[in-house]
Amino acid sequence: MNTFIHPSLLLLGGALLLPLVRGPLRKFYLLLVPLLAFAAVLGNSLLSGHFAIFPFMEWQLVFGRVDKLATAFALIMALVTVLATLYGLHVEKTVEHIAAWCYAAGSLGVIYCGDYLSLFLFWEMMAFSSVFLVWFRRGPQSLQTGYRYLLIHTLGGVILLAGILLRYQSVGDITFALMDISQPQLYTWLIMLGFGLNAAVVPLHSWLPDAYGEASFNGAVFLCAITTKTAVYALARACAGFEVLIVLGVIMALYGLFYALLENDIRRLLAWSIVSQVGYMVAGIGIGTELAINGAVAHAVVHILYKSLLFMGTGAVLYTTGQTKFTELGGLWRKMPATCGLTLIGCLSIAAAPCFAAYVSKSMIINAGFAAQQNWAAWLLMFAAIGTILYNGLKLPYFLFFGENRCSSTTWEKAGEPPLNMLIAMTIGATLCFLVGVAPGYLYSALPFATAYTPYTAFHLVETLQLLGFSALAFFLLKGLLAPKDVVYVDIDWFYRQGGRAFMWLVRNPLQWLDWAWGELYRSLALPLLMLMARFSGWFDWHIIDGIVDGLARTVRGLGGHLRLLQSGQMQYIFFQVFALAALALITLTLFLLF
Amino acid sequence: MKQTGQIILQRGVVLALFYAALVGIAILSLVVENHHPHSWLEAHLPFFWSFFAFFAAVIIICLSKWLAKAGLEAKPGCYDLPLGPAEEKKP
Repeated sequence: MNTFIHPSLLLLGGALLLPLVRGPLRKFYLLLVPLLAFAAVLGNSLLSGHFAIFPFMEWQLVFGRVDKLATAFALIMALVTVLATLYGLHVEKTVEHIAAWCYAAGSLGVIYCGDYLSLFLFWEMMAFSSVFLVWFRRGPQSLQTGYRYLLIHTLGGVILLAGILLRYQSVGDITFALMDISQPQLYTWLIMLGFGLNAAVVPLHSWLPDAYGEASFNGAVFLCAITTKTAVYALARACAGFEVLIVLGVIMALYGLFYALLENDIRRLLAWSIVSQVGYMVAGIGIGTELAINGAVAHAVVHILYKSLLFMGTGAVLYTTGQTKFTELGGLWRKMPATCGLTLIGCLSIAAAPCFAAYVSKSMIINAGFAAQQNWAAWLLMFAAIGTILYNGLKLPYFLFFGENRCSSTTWEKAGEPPLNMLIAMTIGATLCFLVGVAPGYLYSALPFATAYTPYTAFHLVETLQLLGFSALAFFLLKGLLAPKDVVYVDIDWFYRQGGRAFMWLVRNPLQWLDWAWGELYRSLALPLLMLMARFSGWFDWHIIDGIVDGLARTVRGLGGHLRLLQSGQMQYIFFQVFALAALALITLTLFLLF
Repeated sequence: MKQTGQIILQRGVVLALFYAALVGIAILSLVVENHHPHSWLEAHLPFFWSFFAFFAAVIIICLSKWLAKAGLEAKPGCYDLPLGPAEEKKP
């Protein structure tokens, strides 16, 4: 079997037929379609090369470029699509499943495509389908948040398209491959920015905590995995070694951690954590060595596993209690022990605890930084790793499941384990987090470059235990400072959101007043003047123009009447007139000759 | 009373285990050799990563609180507050 099957086709076809599938078959069908897509990706992973090539105008559209980089990302995207669909198996809204599958199809399309034109098509498919996962929460803020998300991603799409077009004008081809980052042109920056916006590069990141905190409980699982990591793939493909990404990545890692540590909303905390963790991947891509790219890809893969698990855990809290704020939750382990245990595995995984997912990936990026003499970046990423332990390894589980119970009686009564399908999805996610942590061999074999990296050295183990243990000590000594407060923390989006409101105010007030004043001025001044002019024109037309024309007509008519008398038709008058004229001519000639 | 006493005892046991684990880890760090130190301090300061983790965590927690007080912290709904007196009179 060596045929390339595009998993996006299966997902899109499945989405198209989903409204027709009802009754007991529906859940089976919901599982079957993403499983088929995953099987297609598994089949494709045995291939290598370019498939599904279609000529379009003067270009070649490549829908199936298969190599190790594409395969690693495609496998994890297809896997998370299966897990997230299983998690939301009981969701009745068919359109939510359709939107989620279209979104995953867009991501897989980007991963497998080999040219910028089809990339742009799938890129926009992702943006326009994922927004529904925000809108379908149907919360008081969902509509506004969704529009903001769409506006920002449309802007990102326009930036990317401008880069693609300028690049085509300059180099004359649309191949999606590593750009010449040693001599960056305007298009290099634009393409990098277009990808960077989706990767939530600071300061183009605010859409992420805004949207992911507001998404539906099931939609957030898709969102947390797909957009940013597809952008990481695109950056790894096109911008590897672009050194500015090291700076941007480190800024992301640090910026995200402070907001995550302060955040009062459990899902916004996780969203800020994505900004921070994707920072590691972006920095790794910027370092650009084989170890760094391997580290970035490995971290993207395990990040999808533990982050989807964490969003599933917090989604279960939202699903059962309807609450997402630390100030309205706490002590939930008594009511949700299984959810608590599974979420804890996600927390240990992101904190890079030994035997759990990020232990085998994060250190690759940091070591690559040291090896590439980017010591400042490596030390700052190490510093940010302590922040990760604090906000995700300690703050999230402590204030959500343990610590003070701040639940209202209604919330406490509603709290409980989620439906079985949600627990099964979480169990599979947690198992994978553990398996990849204890046996990273399969993950390492799937990386773009061959690696002999061994995370389980005595030193790395003891170093990690020190990091975990002593940051935990600091946390428990200072946890009073991190006690939840019902406040929000303003971000860069404050500027454009206030800018938007200022624009609306400008439209509603001065511009509307100007419009009203203009209308009034027209009505009270211009309109009478216009009427006066119209009346004058009428008078002028009637009396002057018509007078002249009528007078001329009357004169012509009068003259014509006199001339008519001359043409009586009687011969004697004609002779008289002819002879009179001849005599007049003769007299005139004689006088002329004489004088 | 008996239940409260049990909880305090349990907490005491957990804390004792936690501190014992920290001491154990710190001692272990003296035994394990670092073949690739990245700085002079890392090579020569005992318990380097223990100090690094503790002080980095303290700095991060204090800095985040300072940032919150310096202007990041705002009341919920601050994004929807009127921009000025003129905005309050919506048509």
